[in-house]
Amino acid sequence: MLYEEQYWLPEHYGEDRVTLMMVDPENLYAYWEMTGKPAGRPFVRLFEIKERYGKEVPDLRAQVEVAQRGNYYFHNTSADSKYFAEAGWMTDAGFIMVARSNVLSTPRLEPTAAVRRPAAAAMHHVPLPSSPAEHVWTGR
Amino acid sequence: MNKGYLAIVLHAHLPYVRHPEHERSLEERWFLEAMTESYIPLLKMFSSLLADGVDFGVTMSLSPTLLSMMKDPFLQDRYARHLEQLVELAAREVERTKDQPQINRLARMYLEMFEGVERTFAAECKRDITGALGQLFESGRVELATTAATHAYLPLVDPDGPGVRAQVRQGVRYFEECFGVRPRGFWLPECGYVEGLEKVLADEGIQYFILEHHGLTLGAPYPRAGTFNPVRTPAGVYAFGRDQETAKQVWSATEGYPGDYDYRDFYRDIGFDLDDSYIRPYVHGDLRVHTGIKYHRITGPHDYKELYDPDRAVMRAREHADNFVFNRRHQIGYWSARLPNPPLIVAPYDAELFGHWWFEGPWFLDLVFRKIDRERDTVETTTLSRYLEAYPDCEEVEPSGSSWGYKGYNEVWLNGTNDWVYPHLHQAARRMVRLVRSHAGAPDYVKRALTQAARELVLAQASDWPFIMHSGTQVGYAHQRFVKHMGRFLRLTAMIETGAVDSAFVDAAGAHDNIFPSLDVSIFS
Repeated sequence: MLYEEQYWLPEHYGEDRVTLMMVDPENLYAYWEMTGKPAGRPFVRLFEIKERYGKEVPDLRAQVEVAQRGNYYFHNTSADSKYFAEAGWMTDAGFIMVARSNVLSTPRLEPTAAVRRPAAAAMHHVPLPSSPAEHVWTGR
Repeated sequence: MNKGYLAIVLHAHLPYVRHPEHERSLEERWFLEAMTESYIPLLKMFSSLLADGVDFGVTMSLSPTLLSMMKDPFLQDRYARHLEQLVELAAREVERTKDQPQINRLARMYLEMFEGVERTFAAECKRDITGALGQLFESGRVELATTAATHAYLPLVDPDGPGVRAQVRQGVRYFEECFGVRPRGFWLPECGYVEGLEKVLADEGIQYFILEHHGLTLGAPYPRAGTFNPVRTPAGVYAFGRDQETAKQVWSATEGYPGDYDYRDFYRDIGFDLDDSYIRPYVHGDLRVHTGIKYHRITGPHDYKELYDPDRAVMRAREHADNFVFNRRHQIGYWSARLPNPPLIVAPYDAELFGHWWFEGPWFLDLVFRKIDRERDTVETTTLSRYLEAYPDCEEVEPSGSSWGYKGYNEVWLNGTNDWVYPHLHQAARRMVRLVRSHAGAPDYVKRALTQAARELVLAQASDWPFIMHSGTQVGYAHQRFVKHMGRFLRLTAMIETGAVDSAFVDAAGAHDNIFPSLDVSIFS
């Protein structure tokens, strides 16, 4: 019985939801689903959380017209920053949010400042007696 | 007098592959080949170091999927049959090549090697490889560590957390089930670290994990010792950083030791070279595959290959071991006066590199351990726990998101080839948690369905499926496995939700995907 199983995974799960994931600090990925009848043009917006006057303030970094369900890669994001995404409907009266994502922190790309950095790694590598091979094995 | 330490870490993992529905399975060969070429040779190497009284320390992380396969009687039977065939093929090769002395010598080498592996597996270990690993662990020289239950790539498995917690909890529990003690170390699959992960590890009693180099050096504040001393994370768990120089010397495809022209060529195998009528019983039906018998050396960056000469290869391995130790002494000599604690070089590698990809790898390791013990000059090998016991006072540093994958972050596991898996995985983890909470007092037949759903979910979470989809080889298999586990999960959870549990289906799925027999769904609470 089990071996004749055939599965088709659902294209959506009937939840209003947007999820933000990190490819690397400069590229993020969002996927979303909006249920219900369209109330405007579907949009996904990316916010960076900035600190202003000691308060966290969302700063709109990108907004793209999308489909009601789908995914999108945001490029040129910043390291060491916090982001979240919203999915919703763009109307003449403004943006109606349907779902807000998790908050994602991108890691640093540079060492933290104002610390004593050690000297560059010791370079004592002694060349091998044989010339290096061009062989490529399929290790990770 | 010793001034510093070298901690070699071997990470052993294979995805859970078990196909009783097929007479032969191409993907099961991953396990069969790695057993013969890496796991058993490494086991024998460590045992011989112990028997010879060599003072050494090494850390080995074993994925619960791999341990499960090693303990599975069905796979043990298949492995025993595979070894019989391999010995038979090597014996036929000795006969076939009797008039070609150079090749004949190699055929004899393989025959001897396979017979030795068979002896270790059947006679010495009585098929119980995990038991033999446990004995090494008890010696204190080989520290065993765990990893995520099915080697899920933790930075992506679940942004909400329950999937990550379940993977960590089951990784810890299964280790305890196998070896009778809780693991101290936790290998982050693919060195994948995301902010906050250390708290989950701390909750499960883990004492240390390993970060890719920049996971530590981009931490806050900047670790003054770079990767040469471990740090303590705010959650109290220690983090070690991967050393770049030892990584490059062994991993680099262009400069690394394994690419030396005198070493055995991996790709040239009699499975592809010999006549169909002769080799057919030992390959995969119509499909030519690696048999493990390879007579050529890398020779150069071209298709022309010369015959392999084991004497030359051993000499080369000795040179490489000398070079490796020489460079460690210089690293340690440089750093020892500059650090609060003695320098520690953490050198993690995939265990399958040694023996499977790099045939001479186990010889190399053996030579490194023996040389360091014999000369007792500047460097000593150690396990990660032993180092922490001696030097528990560390700087406090918050690590930075990172992995050892291409470009150092998540791209390998999140790109256009595999991004489609995540909505399913994330939704499933939420659903699992909901069902575990709402079915605490459910009758046994419902609980069995719930437990099987948990098995299907953790199997779907394996990092291997998105990795294979990205790497482009055997993509169909990874796709099929992911859809199958997720499909079974959805079917089982739908049964539980509607109250119409089909126990025959639960049993059939359980017989097939039988990983973690004592799995407790509370890992998802």
